[in-house]
Amino acid sequence: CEILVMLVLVIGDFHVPYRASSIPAKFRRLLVPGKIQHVLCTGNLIGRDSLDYLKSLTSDVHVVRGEFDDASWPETKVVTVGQLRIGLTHGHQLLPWGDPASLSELRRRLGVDLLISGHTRRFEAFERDGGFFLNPGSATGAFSPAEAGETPVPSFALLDVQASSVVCYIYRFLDGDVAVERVEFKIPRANSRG
Amino acid sequence: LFWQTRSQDMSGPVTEDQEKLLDEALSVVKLQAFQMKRCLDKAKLMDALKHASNMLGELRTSLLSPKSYYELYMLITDEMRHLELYLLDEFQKGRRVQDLYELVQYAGNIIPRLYLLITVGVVYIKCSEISRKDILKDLVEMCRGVQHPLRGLFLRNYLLQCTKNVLPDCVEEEQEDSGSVSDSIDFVLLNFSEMNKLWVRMQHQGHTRERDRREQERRELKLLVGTNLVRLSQLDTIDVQRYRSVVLPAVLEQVVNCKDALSQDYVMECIIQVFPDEYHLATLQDFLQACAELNPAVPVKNILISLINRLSAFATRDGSNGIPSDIPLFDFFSEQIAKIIENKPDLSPEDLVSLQAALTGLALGVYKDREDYVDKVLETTNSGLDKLGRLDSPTKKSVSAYLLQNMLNNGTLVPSSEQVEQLLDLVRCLVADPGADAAAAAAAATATNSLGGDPGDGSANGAGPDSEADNEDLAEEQSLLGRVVHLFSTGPDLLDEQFGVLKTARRILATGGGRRVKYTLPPVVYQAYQLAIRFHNRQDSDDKWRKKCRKIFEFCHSTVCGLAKCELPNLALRLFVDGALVVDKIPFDQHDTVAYEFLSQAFSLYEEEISDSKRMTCFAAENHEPLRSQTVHAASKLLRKPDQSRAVAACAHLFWSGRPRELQGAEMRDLKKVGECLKRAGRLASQCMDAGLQAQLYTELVNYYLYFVLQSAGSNLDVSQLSSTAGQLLAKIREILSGLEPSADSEHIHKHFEATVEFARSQSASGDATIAGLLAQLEL
Repeated sequence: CEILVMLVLVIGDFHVPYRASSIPAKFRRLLVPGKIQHVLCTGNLIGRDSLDYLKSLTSDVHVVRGEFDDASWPETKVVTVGQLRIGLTHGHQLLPWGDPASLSELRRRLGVDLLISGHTRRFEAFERDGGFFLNPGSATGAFSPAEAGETPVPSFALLDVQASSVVCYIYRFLDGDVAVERVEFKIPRANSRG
Repeated sequence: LFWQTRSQDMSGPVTEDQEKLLDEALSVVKLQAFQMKRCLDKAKLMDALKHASNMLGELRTSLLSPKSYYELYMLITDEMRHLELYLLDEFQKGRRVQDLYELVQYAGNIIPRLYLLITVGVVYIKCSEISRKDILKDLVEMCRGVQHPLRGLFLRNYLLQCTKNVLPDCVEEEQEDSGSVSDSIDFVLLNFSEMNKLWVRMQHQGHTRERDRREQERRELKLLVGTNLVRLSQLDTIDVQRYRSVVLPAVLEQVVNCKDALSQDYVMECIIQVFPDEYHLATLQDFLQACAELNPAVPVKNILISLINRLSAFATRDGSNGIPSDIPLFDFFSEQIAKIIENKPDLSPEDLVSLQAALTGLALGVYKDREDYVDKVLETTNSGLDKLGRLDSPTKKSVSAYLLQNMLNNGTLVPSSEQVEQLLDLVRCLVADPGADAAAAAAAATATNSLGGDPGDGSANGAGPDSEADNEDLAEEQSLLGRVVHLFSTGPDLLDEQFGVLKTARRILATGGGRRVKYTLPPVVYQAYQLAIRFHNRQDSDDKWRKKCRKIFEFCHSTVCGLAKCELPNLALRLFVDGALVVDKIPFDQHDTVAYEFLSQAFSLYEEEISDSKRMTCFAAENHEPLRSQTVHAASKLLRKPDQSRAVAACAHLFWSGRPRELQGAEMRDLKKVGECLKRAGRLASQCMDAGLQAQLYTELVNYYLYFVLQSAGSNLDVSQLSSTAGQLLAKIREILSGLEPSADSEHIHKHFEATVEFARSQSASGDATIAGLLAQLEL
């Protein structure tokens, strides 16, 4: 049987042009067309150029609406990649912002294994209440009024969806260089979604 | 591991033939190589040489493409190593083969002869037989015997590779005839110029219609030529003096005289990359002089830009001493570029701009304190563009866009108000409609609270309704402009100047009118918010920081009000809310009044203009009592019942996580108010007509109850009321669900309900007695 490579780019909160001018050049060099099968974008692209850029990487691009996006994207989206059911939302709609329990509730509501959200501009990857949660942070390290004291770090994530697990690669732009970390989740076989 | 690219094969019409030919050649090589090694094992040198010669004979072919020939060459030269090692071994054991050097010259054809000669010659050098100097000279001259470009290039490459470690690298000869670095230089330079000649000759071989393919093939071989320069750079004894007086002049002479564009382009770049930056600094004028003499088809600007960028990087690297003060680097390049502009009437605006952009990068990177340099560049760009004739509007726009894109790609900063003005003047066709400037600028100067130009309709000159394409174009170019605003930076220290920069930016960008400011002013506002934070961080060194922060927020307030007037209420709303969040974090005098002002502005925008329930949630993070109840009020006034229910439920969070000033940052956790919100939400849900929707809303509510119950674990809050209400809801949901008709929607609702119950059960079973007790009331 063929081993299909299923790479999913998880990225968002560009805030171009309002809060940032572009993603770091080193990120641009890594993200080139033809490598990635799916793109899941948490929203707040704002400008058209960010969307065009994502569309140039692959044809399967999913975007949800952030509070600054004009376009008529949905508030939430559910996408299945291999054995993994993924939920996607921006997160400004969930109160309190970034609260793990609220995220957990949304995950249950959507009936997904992995919930991806953005908005807080802080990278997160954790497991809770039987599900997984991922926040790719901001691709540009955009200024966040709510977290005004912190220096934002540009980041995104890449998921390698395999038969029974997902490997998540976390890319961060720190001190002028790209740092990569790795986290692995096991896809639950028996779960309450029947 | 994900990022490996697959090399693309250039498949031509004869690919299959090539594969066949190559396979045949490779099998001959393998056979002969095997025989050769067998003979060597039996110490039958003459026979081994015969087989080696047969093997090398495959390199005489004219039928293989450069790619295939390379593969063949690699295999053969690999096998030749065996022969070399055998001979070295023999020599070192004292078993000198008599006159081997002369012997191999009797090989039949010139190709095998020369390859063998090189191999043996190197062995002789390594064993210190005969004069090293003489052998090297002999070998490099003998290679002239092969004038076929492809075969000659590879042969000379073999010579270069074999002699890699035996080239003399000392100032004076160590022994008689062992050679010094001068001999090495002569050797490599001769090899280089012969190789270049062969390479150039390839251009003229064959039919004119095959020119593109030939050029592509030449490009595939460029490294063979470049390796000579690399070898030169590896000779440690070559210092700046020698480079300047011997090496570079010879290379440049060859390059300029060959008049071949492809070669010139590659070799000039190669020189820049291969030799150290200090050498470039010392030979700048010679190099630039050569640039001026190149074939007109060579894109000199690329070479210049390469060099400028490299030297900029060199000068600004940590630990670098910078550019020596006796080298007027900026002037050199400035003059050179001016010459190019003069001599090339067909220089495209894009090329001009990219040259100027590189020069700007140099000025900003290396000569930070020479503000006049950047001014000069902007000036010359302006006049250069003007000189390029009366460009029509679309061209002007695309050139301006190109300049901005260039700045973004290079991260070129604009560090002062004057330069912001100059830059925006340069790209004025993007900033505003023609004619709109003067009038609008005057208006903007007198009325700080309004934005110049017509609100909502930037086409002050009555340009008529815009097409879809026009709007897209506008969005694209304005987005560029907006992004460039983030490059307006005076650096980390000059905060007052930064405020000046932002004020200047706003003044000029405002003339763009409603259509444009929606892209260009929000960046100014966000930069201002960040500036306020920086002032706050600097409070120890600036006791006027409070006043300055206040002024910044006043500036933002008026800007955002202006945006609201341009029929952009959603945007203004968001900006006000974000502003309030920032103000909250900066304790300047009466900052909570300012925050309140921002929020109430946001609120009135909301009430007047927007009725979208989703956008409500932005108020959740604030902490003022009257606004809190107003939020709840607004929530219940939403149009549709389900939206009302959801919004009111969301407000419960306000009363839980809100952090009012009185509690000094602690969460409110007002259980009573939370309960009220949720009850109200429940009532609103019960008024929904659709049973399925009701069930959905109730399920969501149960999750809210669960949230607060679980959050209060460990505290002494009495959540029994919440628990019992949740239990009642669960019963209600069960009732509804049992009566629901099956459908895709109802299945979803079922799943959500089951998931909720499952979650509650798992929490209850988690071991914490208090939680279990609380949840017991839910009668799961």
